[in-house]
Amino acid sequence: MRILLAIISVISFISCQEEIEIKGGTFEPEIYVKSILSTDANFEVQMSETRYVTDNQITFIDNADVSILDLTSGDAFQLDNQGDGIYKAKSSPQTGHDYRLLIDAHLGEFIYSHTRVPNNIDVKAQIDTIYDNEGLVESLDINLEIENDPNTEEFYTVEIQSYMPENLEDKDTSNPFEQGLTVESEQSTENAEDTEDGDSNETRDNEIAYKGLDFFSDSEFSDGEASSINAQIKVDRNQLIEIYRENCNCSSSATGSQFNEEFNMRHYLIKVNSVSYEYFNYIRSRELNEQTSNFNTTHTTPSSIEFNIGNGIGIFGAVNVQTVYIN
Amino acid sequence: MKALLHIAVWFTFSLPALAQSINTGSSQNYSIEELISRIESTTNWFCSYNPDIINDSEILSIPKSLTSTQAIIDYVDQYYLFDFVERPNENKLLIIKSDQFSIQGLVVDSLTGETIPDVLIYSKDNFNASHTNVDGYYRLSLSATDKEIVFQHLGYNKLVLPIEQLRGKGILIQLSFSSSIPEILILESESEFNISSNDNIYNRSQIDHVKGIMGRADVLNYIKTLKSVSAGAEGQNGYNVRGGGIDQNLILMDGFSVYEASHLGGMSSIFMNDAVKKVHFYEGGIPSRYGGKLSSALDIRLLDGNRKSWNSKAALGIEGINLHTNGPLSDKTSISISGKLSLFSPLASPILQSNLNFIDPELSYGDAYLKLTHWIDDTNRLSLTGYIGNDLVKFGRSAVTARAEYIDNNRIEWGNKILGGQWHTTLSPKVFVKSKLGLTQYNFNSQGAYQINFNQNNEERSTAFFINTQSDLFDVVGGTELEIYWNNNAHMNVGIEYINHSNSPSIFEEENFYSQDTTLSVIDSTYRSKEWSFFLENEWRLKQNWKINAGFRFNQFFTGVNAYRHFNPRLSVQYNWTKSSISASYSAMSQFIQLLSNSGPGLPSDLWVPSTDQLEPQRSNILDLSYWVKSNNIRFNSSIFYKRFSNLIDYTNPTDIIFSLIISNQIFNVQADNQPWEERISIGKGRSYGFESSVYYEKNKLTSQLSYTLSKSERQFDNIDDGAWFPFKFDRTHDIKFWIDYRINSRSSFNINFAYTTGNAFTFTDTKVGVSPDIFLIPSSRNNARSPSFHHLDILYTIMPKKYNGQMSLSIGIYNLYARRNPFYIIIQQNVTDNPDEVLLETNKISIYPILPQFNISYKW
Repeated sequence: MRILLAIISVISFISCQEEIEIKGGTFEPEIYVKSILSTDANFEVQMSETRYVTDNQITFIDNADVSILDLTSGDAFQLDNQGDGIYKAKSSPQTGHDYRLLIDAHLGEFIYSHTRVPNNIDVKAQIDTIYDNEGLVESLDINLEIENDPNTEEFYTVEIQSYMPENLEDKDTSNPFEQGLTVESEQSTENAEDTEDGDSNETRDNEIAYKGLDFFSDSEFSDGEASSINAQIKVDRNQLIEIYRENCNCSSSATGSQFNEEFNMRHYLIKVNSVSYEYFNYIRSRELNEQTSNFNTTHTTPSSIEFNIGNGIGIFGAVNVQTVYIN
Repeated sequence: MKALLHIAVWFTFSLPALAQSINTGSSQNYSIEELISRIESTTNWFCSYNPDIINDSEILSIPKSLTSTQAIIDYVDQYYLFDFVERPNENKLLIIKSDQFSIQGLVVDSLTGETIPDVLIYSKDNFNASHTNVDGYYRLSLSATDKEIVFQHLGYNKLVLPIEQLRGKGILIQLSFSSSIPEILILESESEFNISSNDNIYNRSQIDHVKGIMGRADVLNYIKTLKSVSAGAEGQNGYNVRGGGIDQNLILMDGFSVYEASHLGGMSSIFMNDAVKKVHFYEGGIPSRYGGKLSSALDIRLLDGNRKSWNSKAALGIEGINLHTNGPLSDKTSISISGKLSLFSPLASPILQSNLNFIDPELSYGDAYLKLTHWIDDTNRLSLTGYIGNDLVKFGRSAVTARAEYIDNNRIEWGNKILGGQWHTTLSPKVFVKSKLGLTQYNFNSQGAYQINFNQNNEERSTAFFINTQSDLFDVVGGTELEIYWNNNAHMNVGIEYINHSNSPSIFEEENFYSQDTTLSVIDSTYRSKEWSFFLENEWRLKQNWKINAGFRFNQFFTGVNAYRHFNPRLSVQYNWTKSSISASYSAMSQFIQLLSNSGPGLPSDLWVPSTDQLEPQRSNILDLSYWVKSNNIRFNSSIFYKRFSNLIDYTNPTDIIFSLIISNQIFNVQADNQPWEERISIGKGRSYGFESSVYYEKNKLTSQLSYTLSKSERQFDNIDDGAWFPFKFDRTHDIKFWIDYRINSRSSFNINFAYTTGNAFTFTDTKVGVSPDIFLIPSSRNNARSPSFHHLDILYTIMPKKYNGQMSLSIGIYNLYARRNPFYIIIQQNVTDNPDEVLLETNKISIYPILPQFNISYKW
């Protein structure tokens, strides 16, 4: 028995974990295309090659012929290369139109996709602010009432933005939610969009914070199409702090009165987007993928992302932006 | 309830047969003259015969139970070289000499009274030959010139009996055990009579050649050494046959389905070798009597119990305690009781605590069997099989980092319960009947509770998640099978089977550490379905060379508002030469209850789910071509196979995302996704093909087997990788197995066991997409990478101390001698640096059986 115990003791010191190299197949890059048509922006397409996970070198596709066809009006738009894989045209998509993306990357087969810009919706929002015992915001209860086309299923994303009022002296700095949210110009919304797409190198602290809050469709409220839906969204203080931290240029561990002061000075606005079906699936699958891609085991199958690009990967989607100004 | 009524009808229908087949055992002698006298005195018949041909003084032995004259006439007609021809117009009964008669009865072990299946029975004079069936029952038609009959079986002394001793109904043949009978010689005799075949049958002594992880012989570990079965992987429950999933294997315990036959990641099986009588395993050419699974059939028959004396065995080892006892309760009733209780947890816990930082780990399992057999007569018996078994894995983990404290508690529990009755009898000398009625239950529960405590803005915050996966199955099973012997060269199996399934699969998620919210309820409901099967198979031996087994299985599955009807033909054709044979087979299979298994990183969330209105039953087609060569000491077998699957299911996305959050030290807002299982799955198809070969060698003290398989197994789902084929998780390019059992002398032996197989395929997130700051990672394709290969070498030395006269046995060995760290799973940590474009990979494999001592001591009395 003593021998047995000795053997077991030895085994206990043998590490069961060992670093190894993974053997995969040969990596073959694909063309990644991203183009989100937005009613408040010009046509834009971004193209690059996918690369191996440890490869830091980005290969942009700058020699492609990129065009977008408006299938509703019959118009065709040729997009010009701007460098770094970006192609643009000086026109904007129209509400309710169907669009086809066609790319000749000189690889033998056309890269293609299709999307539709959603119709306008009518959004009404109401926010109830819940405070804790110390007078700090506990949560925001957002009530959205959306009127839309009763004949089609619509898909929505809801975003929250954080920004710093430009003239602090003019603002009440006690609590951003007590005074309500005010957005002075449409420009700030556009800049927020740019930041979302990663296109802006500007670091203007007054409008960079962005966070996807929720996504839902008519079918979650009815059997399919609905003419009116009423969505309840709750945003707790942690989420707001997280939104702030991501963009505040402050230490992630910053705490204390200074932090509270800065945090309390920030204002927020809610954006409701009516999005295309493809884009809705894309962002929903991205959300799940983000939660699984940080960790990978042989027992894991990472959540897949729903793309809609033929002969490549990526997303060709559309957004009809409806910004809600709340006072 | 309907099922019970149907089964009751079957039994009622068969009751007259029971009355007919009862044999008191005692007999009285008649001469032909006395028989004629009785016939003429009790009937209107006048007997006529040719005294030059028929010797009227010949003595006939007639059972006393046969009281009516007609029964006696039928008996003599059947078992003696006489035919009775009626001439009703003349009231005349002609007695003429026939050239054929038959013998039938039962072959049992002389020491224990256990029936012996697959005994070769033949007459050398006229090449008449047959086998005993799975219940030891035989029937052999003989010619007038047959004088002696030979009974022969692996491990038993050959018995030669004169024909006079074998006349009559239910003759009991007793074979005596001999350890010196080589296995190959039996096969020589079989090939001589064209009744070889069965590389599909394994008995206890064969299984004893191979020892499992714990150093004990085990049925499933033996099955894994066969060429068509994958060697497995570290910590893998179940087994894969020719590219099939682990849920695609039919496992029967005395005719009743077992849904999970493995303990604790394949450490051992629920079957104790001491309680096993015989094992049939089919991976191709699957007979029609087996159905309900796509890839293979493993039919395990338990010992009935010693009918002559009590004997017992107790074993103690690293694994735990095994107990087995069996003996007679009366002249006609025997009992076999077995139990297994693991003691592994106290030994494994320190390892798990030190190497994997588990908190209070518990790993335990236990099994208990009971088999009660009552012999109404030698060919008529009732048996009751009971089994209960359970596995428990429990562990917690905790980690503290600069950002947060992580706590999780995990508990997985599963187990089978079986209670079944069987009635085996003869309906007539040519018809053997097997009926069964029973209940099987399987329960699986997996619970994970996860909590992250963190400090944010000087506040203690917490996020939590709870997932509960529950899979309950309850089957009511009934069936009747007739085994009809047309003649020595043809017999038929025909029968019906009914299963009433009740499945309750559910996944319940809640954003609390342990859900206390009783207002929430499981949204998946209980599915009730009915499975009817009718099967027919006929086996013919044509001349000295051809053997054909053809049949079909017709299934009806009622679920929801739909009824699925599947016709599954089966065909196996074999051509034999003296020392070699070639065979081709085709099997169409259906599966109505399947395992939905998560591929996520967390706890297993295995759900047994039925086919539903939306989900059609799974199907497979198996083609197989095999070649055998047998010489004095070597048996060589080589096969190629092709297999197609349809309506396979898989989770579309992981179901247990929270686990990754804990490990990767990230905090996310986790949203419970409380969807029914049907909304979580994708439906696809599969294919596998390959070449396999094995060599079995036995000479003097040495027995060994080497097998090699080269194969490919793939899957295809329309919504995965744009419908491209991808490797199946258990795709094994190479699979090599080798074992040696060397008997050093009569008291000691040495075993070597080696297995190598290609590692599991898995999905590696290898592709970086997009431009900063919108960069994300995706896998280039499903199962695009391979785990390191799985291999281990084990040695075991067994000695039986002289002073215990063979009653005591002591085994000492080592599993995984060279401490190969086989991957249980692989962690790939993607460490993102300050540069968002830069990703550093850190890849580690986790092993759970680095090297294990084997120690067993057993004592039998």
